Amino acid sequence: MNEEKTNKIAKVVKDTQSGNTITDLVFNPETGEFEEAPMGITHGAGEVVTDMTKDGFA
Amino acid sequence: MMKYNRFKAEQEVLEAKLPSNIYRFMDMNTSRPYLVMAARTNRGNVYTLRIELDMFPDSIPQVFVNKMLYDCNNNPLDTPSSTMHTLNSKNGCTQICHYGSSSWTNRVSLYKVYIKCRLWLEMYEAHLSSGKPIDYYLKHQN
Repeated sequence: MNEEKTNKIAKVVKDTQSGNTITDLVFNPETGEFEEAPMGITHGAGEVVTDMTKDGFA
Repeated sequence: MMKYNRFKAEQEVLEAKLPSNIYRFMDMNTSRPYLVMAARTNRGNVYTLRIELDMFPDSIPQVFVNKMLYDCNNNPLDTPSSTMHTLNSKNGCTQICHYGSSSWTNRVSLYKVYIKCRLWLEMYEAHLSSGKPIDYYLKHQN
């Protein structure tokens, strides 16, 4: 189950990094987990962090 | 060295965005201040991050996981690796390569550094499952 969650969010991360998605990456500080949410929709339990990661990694 | 006003601003951001029991500023009145932060992945594993603050915010802060991490082939992540987004380890701790010089400004907050490192940890665990390098998931900066 946990591995499924990892694989699912990994796909979301890859898609958001490439920009080929209508999904946002959300960080939920209450659970400490990354989640996905439809792009542009306010996500009550967390913060959209897609843009924070779009500048890429060194 | 971080100025007092910047320190207070960073504290306020972290207080607003994260539970207070997952981070702590350490040795702030010394020449080697650092921030310790807990990071729990979606899989439930907990890591401790150490963010070196001696040159922050003028330079990119070094971020270490408080232990050596190993790739899916059981090799230590202890050297600079473009595909794994790592830098040289120190004191037996893996160093995460998060921001590069081309994207770093002194306006980047510690919260943003944390989010990127938390994401790196998530993709590290995806790497352990899939065998794909971390840069399969996390793109390189332009």
